[in-house]
Amino acid sequence: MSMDELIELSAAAAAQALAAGELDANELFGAYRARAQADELNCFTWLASEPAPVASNSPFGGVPLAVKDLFCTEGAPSQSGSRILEGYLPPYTATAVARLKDAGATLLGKTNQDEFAMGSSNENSAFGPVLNPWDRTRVPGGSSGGSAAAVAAGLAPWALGTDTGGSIRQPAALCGIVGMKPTYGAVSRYGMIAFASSLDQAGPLTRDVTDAALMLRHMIGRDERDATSLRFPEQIELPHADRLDGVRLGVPAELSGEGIEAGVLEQFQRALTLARELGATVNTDVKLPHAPHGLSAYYVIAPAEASSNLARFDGVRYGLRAPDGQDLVGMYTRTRHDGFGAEVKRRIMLGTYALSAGYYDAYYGRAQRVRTKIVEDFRSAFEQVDFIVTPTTPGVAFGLGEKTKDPWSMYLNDALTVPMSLAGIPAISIPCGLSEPQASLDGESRPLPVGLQLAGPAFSENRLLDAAHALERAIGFDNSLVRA
Amino acid sequence: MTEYEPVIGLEIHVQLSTRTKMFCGCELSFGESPNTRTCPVCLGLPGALPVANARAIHFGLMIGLALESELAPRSIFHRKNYFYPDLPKGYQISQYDEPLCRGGRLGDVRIHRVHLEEDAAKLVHVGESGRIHASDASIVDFNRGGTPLAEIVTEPDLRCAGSGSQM
Repeated sequence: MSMDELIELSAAAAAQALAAGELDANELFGAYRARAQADELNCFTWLASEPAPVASNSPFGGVPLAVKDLFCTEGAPSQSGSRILEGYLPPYTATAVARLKDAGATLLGKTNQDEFAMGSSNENSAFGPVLNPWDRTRVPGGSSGGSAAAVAAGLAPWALGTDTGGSIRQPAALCGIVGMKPTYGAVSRYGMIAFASSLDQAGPLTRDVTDAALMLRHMIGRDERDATSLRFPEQIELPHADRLDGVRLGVPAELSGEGIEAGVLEQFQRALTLARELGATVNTDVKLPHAPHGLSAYYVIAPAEASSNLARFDGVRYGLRAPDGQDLVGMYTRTRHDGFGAEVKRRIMLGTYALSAGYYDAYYGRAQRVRTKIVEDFRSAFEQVDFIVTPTTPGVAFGLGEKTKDPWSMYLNDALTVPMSLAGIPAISIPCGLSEPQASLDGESRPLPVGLQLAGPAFSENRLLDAAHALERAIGFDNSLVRA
Repeated sequence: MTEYEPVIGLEIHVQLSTRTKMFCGCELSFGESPNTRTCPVCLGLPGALPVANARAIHFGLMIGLALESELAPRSIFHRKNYFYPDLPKGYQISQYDEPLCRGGRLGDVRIHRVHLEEDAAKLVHVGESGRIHASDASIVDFNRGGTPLAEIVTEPDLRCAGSGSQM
């Protein structure tokens, strides 16, 4: 097989070819490693020099896997995109990664991300921004920008990311690939450098829905080391559906109109038409009345949890310790001043304030009560429909530097993904079309991917993957266009 | 001359005799070489997560029964956030408004509450006196960090130091 043919194989197809002896694992690794080495999009913060050995009869048989920087990978840098952990080598491996390795995935490299998973553009990384393979003057989305761009550009067959408010789904949408956030608790968080503990979830970024199911199948399930992890009630199956007969889709007005670019809505509506042709009913009367408050609630809860989770980065035991601190407080303040970027500092301050005495109930308490309302909204909605469908993001990939001056304009990117995170329900983004060519600062105009999001009740992963699979086939999005 | 009356309440931290720590599987020890009874969880390494020690919770409930306390049907762990080198996560996992046990008594002294928490690590100040003031440096032994503690808080019912120590 030529190099081009090798990298055209999806992870599932590569696993099959490896199992059938038609493909050599070292050759596959070598092909991806060479492409990753030559990467100009800044997707990787570290590359493995050679493939780790895998069991010959394992499900994946040696398919290379790119892993987001914040997953602890024993002996390989795990920095969460931050200077404060630059070069940090953990003495253990995250459960999600260990399970995938046990299933026969081989670590290709660690991918670039927004620092501590805080961001929607991968511009908050201490290791430089990642570029969108569809248009290098634009962002790939974040915080799993490196993982998304690597998969889209064919630098890895698939990648592991994390999603706290949309950090898998949004970059997947902006890069024209598939990204899924499972039910909260479905995948162990042990070994994931924490951002917001009640929201963080690991999930796949892949070329197609089948690969996403395949990865999820081998990561999911109870881990004794993560007390919030759950026994998943069923095995994750590879999806086969190509019709949506009997499927009730709900499109809430709150998440499908105001603030969304016309070009995105156009592609979204086209996909809904296809869904109807496949036999689905589309209910536009379903309501999520508290969803518009999701972003505000999220930007109180997530920074609050982060302010506590990031307290351990103090220069005492690992990571950066800034020199010249004259005393303990000096060491702490210099280390955290030098080690954290602006957005991280912003959120730590916001979060600390929201949790402080006298304000705790007014901010954090209230935000949690709004969260409960959103949980209840979804619960009622799922009595009328099987899945909620929305565009994944309000717009297509935006230009580098375009939203960095105004944090709120950046936060708005998460408006459609955050409610599902707050409710802990599973959601998947699939590419549903390309926009009209958009003019960029380099004088060129290029079409950009648009994503569609499907969300279901907790533990509905199999049904969700089936519906996404059927829609994916009908849409027929070709994401090999940027794998040149 | 004004007469003052001693009014004393006590906060007693009891180290529980479980085999392992409050939130991880490291064995409890005393006098072992420094930093030999540690793991990612009690070192507060990035990505580590706590898992509550069931036996410590049982012991806490037994203490509550012995003190005639009300045992909570639902109890929550909270984080007490502050920075100090013997506190690896930058917070101590303790209990706040929903402790394990409320009320109770021991003799004439009313009990306010009993809750569970993890112990901090041990700071050693290197220098002549061992005190922080004259030391050249401080070093940390994390063997103790994470040990299960039951904190028993009394009402301010004691009236002299003698009865305090007797209690």
